[in-house]
Amino acid sequence: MTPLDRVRRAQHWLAATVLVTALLWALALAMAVVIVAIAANLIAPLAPLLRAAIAPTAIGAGLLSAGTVLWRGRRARSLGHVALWVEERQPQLRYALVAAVDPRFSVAELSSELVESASGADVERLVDRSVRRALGRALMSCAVAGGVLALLGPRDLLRAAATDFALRTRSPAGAPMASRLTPLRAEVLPPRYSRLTEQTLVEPTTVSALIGSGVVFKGIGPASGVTLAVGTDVRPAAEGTGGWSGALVMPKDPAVVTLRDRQYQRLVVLAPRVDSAPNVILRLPAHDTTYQTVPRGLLTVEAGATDDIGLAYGYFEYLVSTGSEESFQTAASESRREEFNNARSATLHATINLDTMKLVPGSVLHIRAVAFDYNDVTGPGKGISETRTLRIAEKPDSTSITAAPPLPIDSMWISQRLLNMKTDTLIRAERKLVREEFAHRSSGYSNAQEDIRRRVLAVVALLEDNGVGGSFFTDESKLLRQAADLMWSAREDLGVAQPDSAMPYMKQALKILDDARMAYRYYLRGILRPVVVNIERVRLQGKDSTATAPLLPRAVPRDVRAALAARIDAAARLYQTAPEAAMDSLTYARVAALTAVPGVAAALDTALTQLRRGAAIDSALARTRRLLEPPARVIAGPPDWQAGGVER
Amino acid sequence: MSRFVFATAEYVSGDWESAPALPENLIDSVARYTSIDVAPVGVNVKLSSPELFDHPFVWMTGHLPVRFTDAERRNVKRYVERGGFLMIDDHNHDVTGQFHKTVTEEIERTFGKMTRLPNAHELYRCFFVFENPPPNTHHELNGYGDDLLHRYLDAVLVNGRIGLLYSNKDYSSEWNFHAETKKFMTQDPTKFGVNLIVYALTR
Repeated sequence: MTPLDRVRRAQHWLAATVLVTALLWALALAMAVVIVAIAANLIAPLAPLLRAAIAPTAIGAGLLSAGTVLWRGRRARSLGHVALWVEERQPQLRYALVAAVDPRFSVAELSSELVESASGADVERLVDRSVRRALGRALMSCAVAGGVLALLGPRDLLRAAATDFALRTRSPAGAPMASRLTPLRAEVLPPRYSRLTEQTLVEPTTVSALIGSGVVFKGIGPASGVTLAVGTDVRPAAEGTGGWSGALVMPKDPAVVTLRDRQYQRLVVLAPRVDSAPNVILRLPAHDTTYQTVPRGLLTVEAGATDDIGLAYGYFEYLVSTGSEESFQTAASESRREEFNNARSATLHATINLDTMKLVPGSVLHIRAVAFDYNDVTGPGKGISETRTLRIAEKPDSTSITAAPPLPIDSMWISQRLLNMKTDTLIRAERKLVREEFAHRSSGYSNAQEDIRRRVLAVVALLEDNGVGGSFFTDESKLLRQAADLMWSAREDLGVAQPDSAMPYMKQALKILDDARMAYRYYLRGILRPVVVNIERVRLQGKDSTATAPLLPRAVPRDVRAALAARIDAAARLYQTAPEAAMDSLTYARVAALTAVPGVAAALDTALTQLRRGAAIDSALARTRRLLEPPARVIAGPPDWQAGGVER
Repeated sequence: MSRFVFATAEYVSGDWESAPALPENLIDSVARYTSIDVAPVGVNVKLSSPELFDHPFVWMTGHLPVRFTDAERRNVKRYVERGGFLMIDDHNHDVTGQFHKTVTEEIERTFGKMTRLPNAHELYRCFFVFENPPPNTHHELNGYGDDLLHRYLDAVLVNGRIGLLYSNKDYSSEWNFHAETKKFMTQDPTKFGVNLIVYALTR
């Protein structure tokens, strides 16, 4: 290969390298501009004007860097310059290579020494090293910029930037027949209390934001003739900077905004997000408690509160009630308010001085925690914890008080119980005793039974005495009279030395005495003793006339899922002939589903996105339809297959 | 069809047992005026217990402040939404009283704002017909409590049916007497209680 051929080959390599390097540096610089824009946008949202400038700046930076590289590599255009470039790096050639590639001389005219010297130039190694170094730097820069960009996720900003650019560059006058609803941008301004940043949505199909957020739709062209409608509320668009704009407030319920421009129409779903009320959990005291004595000293209370946006303040509520039935007093108080300064979770502490609560036996102290958020649009959201109830036992309320002296019924019950035990022993000892001894003992027990019976009747007389000469039955006296009757039967059997016949009466009498004793002695707070009504005695004895209203069937509740499924099926059929109208129907169906069946609303959103990308209607709606299917029912099927059929 | 058992709601706070004679009285009235197969004795049922769902009609009353526990609130919500009928009566007949303040707060926390029940509602004519509903109580007419005649009852409606009825009229005092006393009365005041039970069982 002659020196000329070798230099020509080097020239081709160097020229190609310059071109490729220029492209790579242009790309790297453009990406660097976008990275800077994203970083700036993260620090403070960029103004629309700055967003619109991102693309031109990036392209300009790319072109500038490409031009610089091309200018610096311009020597690759001629063979002489390439030879000189080699000579610069290999001075020992002493211009032999330059002379060898000089087009004014043929190889034959050159001296053999010069040709030999020029042939000794290491052109390939030089070119190889230079190409590697130039391409390596450019590729490295590209890779770094690309990696950073991938991490930052530029898609949203670039879409917004493209729309802003289009809004500022497209001439309104130049598109008289085009829709002014595309491109479309929605700027969401969350309520001030939420302290969330402004958000820009490009070509939105759904705007999801907190209730009360401002939503501003912006498009290109004059405002005249552009309207925004939510239900029956239709409002015209206003002139804005670089196009029209229309402002709405995010409603409480899902709705559809219909944007209209002459024959063009565009639907955007407004999906309100509810600011949840704070969630409050009372940690201390952990359980309801009953104190046997009035508690004194300090009681620590603690609660945890969380909120989806930010907590404002919280406090504890105390409510003390003392007394019962219709004579009681209540006193409500609150702990000091604790500020949470927009924290998402916080702990509420307080100490109650029980000495100041004026607690007495029978008092009930209710404690609960309350927390508020900053919501000044639909709130403030108020979260309330579970209530802890601390009771202070009242004497009649408690079974743990010192036992009262035995009442007459108590002593009778004890006597009857002893007599039952003795009689039982006598029955078991019958075979060991002679008949006279057995009869004598039984007779003695008969007298004892009579003694108890008389005491019972004395109590009955006491209970039924109303103090003015008359008498009336009480629940206890009725029971005691039954017991006395049974004791009479027992006494008779014991008197004729038949204690085994007397025993059932004695056991029953003991049980009734026990019931009477319990009914007479205790009134336990928190227990409602059931009273048996004699149904058969009063059945249909009422004299008041009735006029029963006819029993009409209640309306069957509307099946939201079935109605939604029908709407979606109708939209799917319509899609074959009028896809735009079908998409609108599906959008409205999605709004209806947002409150009724949120899962279906999400599936419909996905389906709408797929349809816009050109997916088939059936595959796009498959998941939605599955979600709307009624739950599977197990029905009785044919019995298991059994052998015995006729084989043919 | 299973037998109707009158149930009194038992809750952790307050004095749920403040009208001890009322269950017996309403059971007597149901037997006296209707052919409903009614159990001769009522039961007490905890608001937080699954047994609540065994009873289509539950009576709740009291004088003292009411604070539901989380379990009670959850259970009551499910009970009402699944077709139960919870009657809550203010035994204080006092709109500034603690029972009224606290129980309405609990109801609204659980179900949202209550609906004012129109006086043409079928509750007032589903068995006995009341011309000027809701029927007044002697405590209202004699000026006790808040000294007001309450002209309406409030309700939580579930698919158009009453799931929870709230009264300030103090039927708990009005009906808290021994059933035998009815024979001395020219008008039986418990007839509205029969309407409540008939509505709960048939609507």
